[in-house]
Amino acid sequence: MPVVETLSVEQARHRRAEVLASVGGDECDLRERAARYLLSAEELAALSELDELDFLLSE
Amino acid sequence: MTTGDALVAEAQRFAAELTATVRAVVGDHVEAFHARALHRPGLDHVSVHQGPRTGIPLTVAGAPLLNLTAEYYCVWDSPGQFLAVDESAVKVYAGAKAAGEPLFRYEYTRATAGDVPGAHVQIHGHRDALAFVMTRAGSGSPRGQQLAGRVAQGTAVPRMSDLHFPLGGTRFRPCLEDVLDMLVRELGVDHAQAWRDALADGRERWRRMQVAAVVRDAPEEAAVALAALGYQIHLANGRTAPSGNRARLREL
Repeated sequence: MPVVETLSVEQARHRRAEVLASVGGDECDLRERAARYLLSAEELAALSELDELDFLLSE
Repeated sequence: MTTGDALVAEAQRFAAELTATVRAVVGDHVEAFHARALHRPGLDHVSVHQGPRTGIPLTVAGAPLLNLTAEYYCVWDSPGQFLAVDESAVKVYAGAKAAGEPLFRYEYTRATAGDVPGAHVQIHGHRDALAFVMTRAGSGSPRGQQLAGRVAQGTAVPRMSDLHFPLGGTRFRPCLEDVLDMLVRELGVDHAQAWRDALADGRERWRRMQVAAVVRDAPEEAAVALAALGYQIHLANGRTAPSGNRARLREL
């Protein structure tokens, strides 16, 4: 059975910072290279998680 | 059950359904889908995505050929009764991991913005990239076998037009208005002044007609939905409940 991870706002923000740091910390560069489809699998996975966390945190 | 508990339960149900679907095709070794929930009073968001994050490898004769990712962003529907998908993206990449540019993607956005249709397919792959994948098509299905046979015999070069992308089946297929709309919005085809309303009118007619057909396919679900809206649904005296059309609901 899949496990649901329940996050607080603080936990989501903390995780977002961790993910961004794992790919070098430059989100503009990451998104710019994503727009040109130049991301590695690990970078694409990180960007996917950043977008996911942004959605969860959105109001 | 609190709203937060209900949110988690719905997220778990949805992730379990997606997991079962993918495992039924790819195998039980596939990781379960992951779900995350962020609960705030009156503002619940849930995300569900495949595992691992780098995508689900799809193999042909045991060798990785393609990779699948599937992500869903969900919110409570307006009455707060079930999860509604706000955005979704299902993407297929060439290779063992999802990297670079997908070959194609199916996407959906509930709140359509601008001129992008809410549900759409985007083909990314250069013709050569798709042709390469097609030259390695597996023979485990009739059409795959046909394609692999033609490639093996050297009788034909695979073409993108050999691929048939599903678009909602008999009831939910796009209509002529959708195609004309796409040509105007995406390619700037010359159009009359009132084109937008005319196409919206035609699309509404089409979808209302299809709604009636869908109700005949699944009358029990229609009755439940109408009852939730406050209607009282009763079969007329002497009538037996129609069985619906399960085959239609299951076809591609």
